[in-house]
Amino acid sequence: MDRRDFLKMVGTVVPAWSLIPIANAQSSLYSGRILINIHASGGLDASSWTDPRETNPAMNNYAAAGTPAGLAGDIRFAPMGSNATFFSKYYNQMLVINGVNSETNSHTDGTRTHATGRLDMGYPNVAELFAAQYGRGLPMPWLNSGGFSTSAGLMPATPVPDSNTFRALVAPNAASATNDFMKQADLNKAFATRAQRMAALQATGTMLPKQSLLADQFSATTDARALMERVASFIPATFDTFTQAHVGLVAAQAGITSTIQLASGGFDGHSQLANAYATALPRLTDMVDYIWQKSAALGLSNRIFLRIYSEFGRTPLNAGNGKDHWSVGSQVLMEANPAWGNRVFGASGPKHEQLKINTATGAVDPVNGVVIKPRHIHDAMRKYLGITTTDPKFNLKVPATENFDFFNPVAKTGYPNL
Amino acid sequence: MNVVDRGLTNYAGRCLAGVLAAGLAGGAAAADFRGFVTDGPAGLLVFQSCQGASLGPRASKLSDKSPDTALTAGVAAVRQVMENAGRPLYVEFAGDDAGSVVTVRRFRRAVGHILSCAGAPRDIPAGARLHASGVDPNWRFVATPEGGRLELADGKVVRFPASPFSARDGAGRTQRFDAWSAQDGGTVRIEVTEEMCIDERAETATGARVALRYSSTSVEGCAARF
Repeated sequence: MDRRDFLKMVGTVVPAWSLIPIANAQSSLYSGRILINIHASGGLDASSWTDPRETNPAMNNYAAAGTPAGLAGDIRFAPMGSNATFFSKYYNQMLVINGVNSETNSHTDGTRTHATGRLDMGYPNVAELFAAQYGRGLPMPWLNSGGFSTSAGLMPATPVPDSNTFRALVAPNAASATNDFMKQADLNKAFATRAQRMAALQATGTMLPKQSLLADQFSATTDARALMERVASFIPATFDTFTQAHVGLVAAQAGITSTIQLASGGFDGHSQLANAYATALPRLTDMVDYIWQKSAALGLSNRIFLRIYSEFGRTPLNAGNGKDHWSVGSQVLMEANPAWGNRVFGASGPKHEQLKINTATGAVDPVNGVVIKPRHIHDAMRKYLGITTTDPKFNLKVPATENFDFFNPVAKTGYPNL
Repeated sequence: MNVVDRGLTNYAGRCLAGVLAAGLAGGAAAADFRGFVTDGPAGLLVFQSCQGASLGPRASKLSDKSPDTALTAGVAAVRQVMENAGRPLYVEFAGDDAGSVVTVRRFRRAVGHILSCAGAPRDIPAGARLHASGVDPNWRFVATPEGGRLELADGKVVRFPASPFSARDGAGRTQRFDAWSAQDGGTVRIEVTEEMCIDERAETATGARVALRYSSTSVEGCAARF
């Protein structure tokens, strides 16, 4: 999207009274729920995350070292990275879904499956579906920075602009994230003078029809610029370390986006996994922590639904002290104050073998249970987020007997194998 | 890498090229190559060899003359499962270097998660005659001039003499090795079939399939040296 397109969008949809330049002010342009998807790219090992195995040294280095798993509320976590700090701070805000079968060992297929809910192609990313429902008409309805971004035809993804581009899009005088082409005060004087001259010209009442039309159009662009300046007023002087997340949150605060997709990589730990994850895990948890802290500061946190997912899980340790691809992994869903927090739904075996789960209670149920797949989570999310589509080609094909009651506060699995 | 290291590497590369050229002139056996392949236009594969921990300066067209063009099939199979599938892919093979064209005679392996020459795998001992492994359950067999070693999932290690695992050129697509262990009196039979073998979990394709039987245990896997 270039500035011209952006200007058209803003000019079309932003009411003149919309944006108030206060730090935590909210735009009336879009003030609904904000969906944030975070793709932990590479295949996040469930053992290193929310489904720890602490007794078998073949599973984890921390098990070999005798380091116990951590516990925050009812959620267990691996004693790695900054997990202890992260889970202790947010366990009440999260629903952990363990034992999720991605149905693939391929990075590309896993990325698509967890974004859309289906292994087969042609389904929309949940972000796209959300943007099509709530963000239609917004300048940047679906901001994307990593993960699956192929459109199913509902709504294209807008790459998250860097801080310079973002500011340049909404502030014509911006040369970068922090510098202007001209001193803004000088520019304001020029604009004021020009407006006075235009008003004086119009007041003479001597303009020809074409002159009058051009003058009206000029006034309209002036109004659009004023609206743009209101959007620009949400842009901070400097952007934070997690720039993509910061840009997305500012866009959400300004009301110009409905959903943000982010990625945090480094989880493809085929060799020396613990070393790789010593960096990758804190980077992920720090970003999520940043999003919650920043969104609170911006007055957005109560509007956010956040999901952390990956392509698949990983095997026990291999000969290189790493872990290979394994289709069974985990997801985490978060909100600010959910009734469904501090719960674990779904489970896997001692080496993350697939288990069947009772759809209503969450209990391990080898007879009547169902294997949790991404489509089940997406089906539940679509209902929860109000984005259930009637379009048959986007139907997730989840039979009624496989409707997991993930968001039921009393349904849970815990960690039955430990 | 500092300037001195690069100089040494370049010198080593020139020596390697010289040795290869001399070998070709004398009709020598195929040399071992390791490096990265990238996809060129019209299905062309372009190869750039590793020289120590660095990538060599020359890119060559790759001509895949391995049985059933196993390298090409292996590269495609790994790209199906690897992260960032368009990036250069690490490969090992035996072949000939004719300057602008490197010819593959025997595909050894392609590994999707290797990002640089410095990170190239070093799990196969120099001079290994046979290196095979599998999962579910995990096992590994390595034969070197010093002897054979079978590692089983329960941690058991069985040693075998070296002589049964000598290279058997011209034995056809399937080779069979039988050995007896003086350690525990057990016997091992290993059948190696030269065809592309993919381990999706490990983002690795190799040039041969392996079936191994030891006592009452039968396992299957892939071989990167055979």
